[in-house]
Amino acid sequence: MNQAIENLLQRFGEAVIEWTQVSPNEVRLTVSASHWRDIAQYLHDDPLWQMDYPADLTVWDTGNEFGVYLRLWSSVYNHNVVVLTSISREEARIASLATLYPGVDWHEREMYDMYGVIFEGHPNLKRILLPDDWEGFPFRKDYVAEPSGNPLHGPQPVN
Amino acid sequence: MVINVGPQHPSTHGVLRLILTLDGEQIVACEPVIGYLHRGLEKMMERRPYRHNIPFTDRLDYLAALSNNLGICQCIERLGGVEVPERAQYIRVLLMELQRIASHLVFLGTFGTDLGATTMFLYAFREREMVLDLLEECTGARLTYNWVRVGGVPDDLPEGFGQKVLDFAKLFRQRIEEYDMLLTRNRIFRSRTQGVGVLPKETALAYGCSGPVARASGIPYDIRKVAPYEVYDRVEFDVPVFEDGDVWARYLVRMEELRQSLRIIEQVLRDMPDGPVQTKLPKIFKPPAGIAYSRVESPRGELSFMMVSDGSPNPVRVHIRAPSFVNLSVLPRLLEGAKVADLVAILGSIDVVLGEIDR
Repeated sequence: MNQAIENLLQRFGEAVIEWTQVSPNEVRLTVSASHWRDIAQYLHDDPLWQMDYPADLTVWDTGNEFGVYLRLWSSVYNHNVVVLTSISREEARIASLATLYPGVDWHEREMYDMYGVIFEGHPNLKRILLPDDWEGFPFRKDYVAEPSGNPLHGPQPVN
Repeated sequence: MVINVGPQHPSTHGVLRLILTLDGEQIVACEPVIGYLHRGLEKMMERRPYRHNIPFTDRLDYLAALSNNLGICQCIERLGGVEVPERAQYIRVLLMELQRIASHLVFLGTFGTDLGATTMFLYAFREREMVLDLLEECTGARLTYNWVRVGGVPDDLPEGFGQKVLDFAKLFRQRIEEYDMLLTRNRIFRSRTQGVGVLPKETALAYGCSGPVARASGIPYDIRKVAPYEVYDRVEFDVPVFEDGDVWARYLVRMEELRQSLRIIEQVLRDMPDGPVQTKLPKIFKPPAGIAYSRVESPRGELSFMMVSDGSPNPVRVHIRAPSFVNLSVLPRLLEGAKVADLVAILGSIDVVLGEIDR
């Protein structure tokens, strides 16, 4: 794994802000959001990484910014990688990985649903758990959960 | 033609709605619509102290509540660096495997009913009742156990529990043979499942499928083996892997897992040491700031909790990677080109629980 990390640092330089080897087969990377897609592509394609399994993707709100968390697994080496980045709450934009890893498609839709993060390049970015006409993004820390904001309504016509 | 299946439909196993586009008998496209059971559990967890969130996890995958309890407790333990006594780890593994048997029996029963083999339902639920009786004796509940705690389990096993479990294991081995006679060697069942709903290995990998769905497609991905937790690295068991990726293979994986669970249970009861079952923790539990995640092999696949802490008594974020959520996202690919008549078999073989999909 050491050679793989070295190659990654050489290839991306400043874009990898921080990295820690948590255990012999797990590494945690903090990267800059502008290289999100490139680094994921590299981890997916590079023969020393081959992170071919999208395990998890999520977003959290610190109140000042959004953190993004991606966890990958390699079926070849049994390596785990956690990739972290942060994006601004106002912009709330990041490159989508859905075309690279079809498995994160629904995770990205859910994060758009809950946080309003726009995943650029996502083929079908729409609400997944909440109704399509829902107002606001409920997992944001400043969301006001008032029933008047989203009143109950009767049955909707089927398509 | 577009037809609507669900959300109130007996074979969608909950409130799942599917919008199917058909060309005659063939399914051209499928759009799953989920969220009918969305309760915002992840947000509710952000507003409560860490340990108050354990009962919520019972309502995720309600057929395997103990696995969910374990998932969140492990995540909090990693965040706070809490050690678990050895005996508690053994008890956890014992309960997890009993839970896996109970959950797989629901799968067997409902899957049989889906395909018209109603007898299987009665057989499977007869044995599930015995597992639930055991779990009830230990935890006091039959479905929402809320039994695992941060730093161990709340209480030791009741007296004579081990012998009862062993008696059950002995009986259950014979009962599995009965299931084999009813389903595995049933020609109608075979022709309804073999070669149906094939999920190629590459697709399963790219979609992040886990659990029996992945293992039936030739991916040996079992968290108990790739990242052993508790005492799974001290017990011997095999991970059944099949290459075909069809409904039949997914069924076979679960049947084999029943046998492997019995193996684990017997070893755990043999090796269980004496000792305390709970670590003492402060009244107000404040883990240091950071990010932690846990991975548990629930009966449905990789269940992962991810928590962000800022050092305060409440988590900043709790994220639940529900195995059914990810496994269901591959359903449109599975149904492309399938017959309408196979829809129920394919959906049933993924074994989704809507409680954890919608959260």
